[in-house]
Amino acid sequence: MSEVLFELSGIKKYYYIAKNFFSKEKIEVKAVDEVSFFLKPATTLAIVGESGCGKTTLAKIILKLIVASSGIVRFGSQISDLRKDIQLVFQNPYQSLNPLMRIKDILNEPLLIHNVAKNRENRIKELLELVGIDPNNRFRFPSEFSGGQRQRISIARALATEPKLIILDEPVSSLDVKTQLQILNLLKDLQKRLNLSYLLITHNLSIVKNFSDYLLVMYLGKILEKAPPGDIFNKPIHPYSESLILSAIEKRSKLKGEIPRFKEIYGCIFNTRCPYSQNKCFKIRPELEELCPSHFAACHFPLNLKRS
Amino acid sequence: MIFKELKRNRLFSFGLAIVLAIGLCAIFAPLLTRYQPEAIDVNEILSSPSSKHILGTDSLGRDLFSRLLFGSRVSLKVGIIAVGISTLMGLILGAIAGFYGGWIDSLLMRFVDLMLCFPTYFLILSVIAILEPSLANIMIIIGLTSWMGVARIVRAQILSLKEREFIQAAKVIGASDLRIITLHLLPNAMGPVIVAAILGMAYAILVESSLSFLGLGVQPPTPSWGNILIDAKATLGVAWWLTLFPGLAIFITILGVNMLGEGLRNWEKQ
Amino acid sequence: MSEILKINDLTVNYQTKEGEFTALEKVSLKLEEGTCLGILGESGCGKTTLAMSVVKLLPYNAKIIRGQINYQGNNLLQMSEIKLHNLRGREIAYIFQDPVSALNPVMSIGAQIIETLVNLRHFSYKEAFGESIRLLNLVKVPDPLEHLRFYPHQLSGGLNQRVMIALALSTNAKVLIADEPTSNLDVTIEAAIIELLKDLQTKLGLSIIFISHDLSLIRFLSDNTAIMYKGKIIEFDRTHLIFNNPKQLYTKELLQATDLLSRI
Repeated sequence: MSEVLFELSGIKKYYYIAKNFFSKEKIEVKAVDEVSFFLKPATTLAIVGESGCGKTTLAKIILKLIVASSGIVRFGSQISDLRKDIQLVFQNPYQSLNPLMRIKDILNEPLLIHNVAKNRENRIKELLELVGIDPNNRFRFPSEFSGGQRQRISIARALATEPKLIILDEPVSSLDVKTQLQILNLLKDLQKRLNLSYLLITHNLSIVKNFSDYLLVMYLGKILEKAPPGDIFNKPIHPYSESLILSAIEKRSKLKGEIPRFKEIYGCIFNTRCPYSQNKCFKIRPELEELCPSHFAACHFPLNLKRS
Repeated sequence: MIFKELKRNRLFSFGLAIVLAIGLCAIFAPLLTRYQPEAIDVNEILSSPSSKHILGTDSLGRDLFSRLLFGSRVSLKVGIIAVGISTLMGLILGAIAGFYGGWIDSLLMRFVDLMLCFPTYFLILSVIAILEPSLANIMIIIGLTSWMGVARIVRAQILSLKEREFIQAAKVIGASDLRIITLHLLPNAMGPVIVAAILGMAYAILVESSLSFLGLGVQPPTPSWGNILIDAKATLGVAWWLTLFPGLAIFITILGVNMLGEGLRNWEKQ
Repeated sequence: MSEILKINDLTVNYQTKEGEFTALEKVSLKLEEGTCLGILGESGCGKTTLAMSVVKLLPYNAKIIRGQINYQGNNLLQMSEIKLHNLRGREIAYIFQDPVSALNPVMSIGAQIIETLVNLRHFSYKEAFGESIRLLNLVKVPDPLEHLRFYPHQLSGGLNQRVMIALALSTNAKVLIADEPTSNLDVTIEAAIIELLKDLQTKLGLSIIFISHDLSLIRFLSDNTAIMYKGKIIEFDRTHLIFNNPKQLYTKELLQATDLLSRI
């Protein structure tokens, strides 16, 4: 098989929190539970899920900002230096740039640390041009730029070390619609020119449809469905994916109640909200299975599927 | 722009004016007076304020005005250097505790608690009594016993800054811990630290004056506001100027420094 | 259909350090009874200022330069503070973006609803208790009896927003102003809240002012839509007319961008 950029197998991250202020009893919170997937070079993988589904935790595990409770992260041959070859773009461009540093110093930092450019001044100008910021503005502070421009600067910083993979953590969700479009177009363009891979983390289904090559749907730390996005949009197998699409596009929700938090759930983790749940769902936890060619889902009663 | 801000923040402007004035007096002390602070003039013992000696003379006939001017040098020196020592210690220990957390944090913070348990004044008194009283010793001992507030402030600042995304961003590009602390965390934490340092200066000046008053500070004949006051004690009944003016000097300086600090805090809050 | 709320030529300025700036400029709008008016704009376009001026809860440095806000024929801007106080909260209710900080953290949600009913509508405690259960049922909070005892921090964002809506309805309000009520919520919860608002509008004949930056929500919910840009209403019409045939360049670009975004 062709080379992979990185591969996760059986990643778990559990937290323990006190049940209440007085008791010593701890509740186990499964932020990420048995997650495995891989990413091929020059492709985009999108992870979609609501808040608390573990998508950001997963990104931090890949970046070794936190340590997984168990499981293995294996990097392919392209990734030799984690801090150089994988970069991160944050959601909030108002928080991700040091307010006391000039743009040129922000961009200079990764160049200096990894010693990757012969002429750093030129490289900084080149990076700014690459993301569509006038290099003459490099002496300014972040506060002098708009949200969209700051996000471009964050992207420039991520590109500085010529990474193979960029993790995009909700890269556009704090921006206005028109700016969102510009930033996504820029990212797409950069991917083609620089042969980048993206791991896109978002709660917004509508931006992943054509932006990504592969889509994971996560819920409460588990992958419920994974397939090319077209397949999921056209015929979602898991009821959760179906309702995510319905709520994003038609503002209609079939789901009952709310996301259960800090509760032990027996059987399928989605059973508290699933409109189709039956007895079996409360007893046996479904495993992720390939129900159609390259279309995986973890559900006892899959939708849009004629079982042979 | 700056003038508008200064006009808005009266407290800061007044404080700044007072501190600047005292600072200038200290720097240009030799130019402002005709008398040497240690020059004894037996013809002028205990003369009251006059055109010759604007603030009068003391029991050895030394000019009070020039003694106060030169005394301000001592006070400011103590203020700046002692606070420098305490701020540096507070920054280093607070940053380490806040950044690394865990047992390092617990250990350092318990040490802070321990230091805060000592009655500082008596600690200083006994240490000075063991060592010999000198300006250098005073500055060091004041510095070493007043860093705890700064350490706590720095730690709290770092704890909240640490979660900010630009710190995570610095980690992702592979910046070393030292680089993250000195380049990203500390500059963003400086606001309240500067305020605390300036307020600490007032404390250091007061401590030095009281030590000198007790005879454990700057040793005569070098003038310091504290030891001018000891001399005044003996002649309190006849020479009111000898207690009034040094007292006023201490009062105005502390007031000015405190106003400067509070004014800065108002700014920092915005 | 009769107009329940009419805003005429409203101009609001903010006094800032850098000088005065105009947040709203000659805004004219009308809300017909029993309909939903959507106000769409990017962040900082003045949509919240507009909503706040209807209930006269503007920050201290804001100044209403001119204009009228007519509620059932009375100009709110000239009304005495006492009369306004009676109107605000009783006839016009407001729900905020962040329900958790809008609810009182040290009172159970039942106590908050019952207090409103007793104080504003002079219910007895027994009546108020029954009414609060009815209201929680109306906003589809599961197990109302159970949830009455809970405190805001024990509930999720979606449930808190439902409680906020119940609280707004407890005053028997005719007009509901919803300022980005779903932007802190997850997509599936957002959809459910939007559905609820639509449902309440038809069931109770509520008139709603719905403020959002999200085109798709406005399109789904509102009968009329106003597009705001830099403090001005640049387009105001029936929702389907605006979405099918936008007249202003800004609106066209906005629609196009949203469309492209879903196809990127």
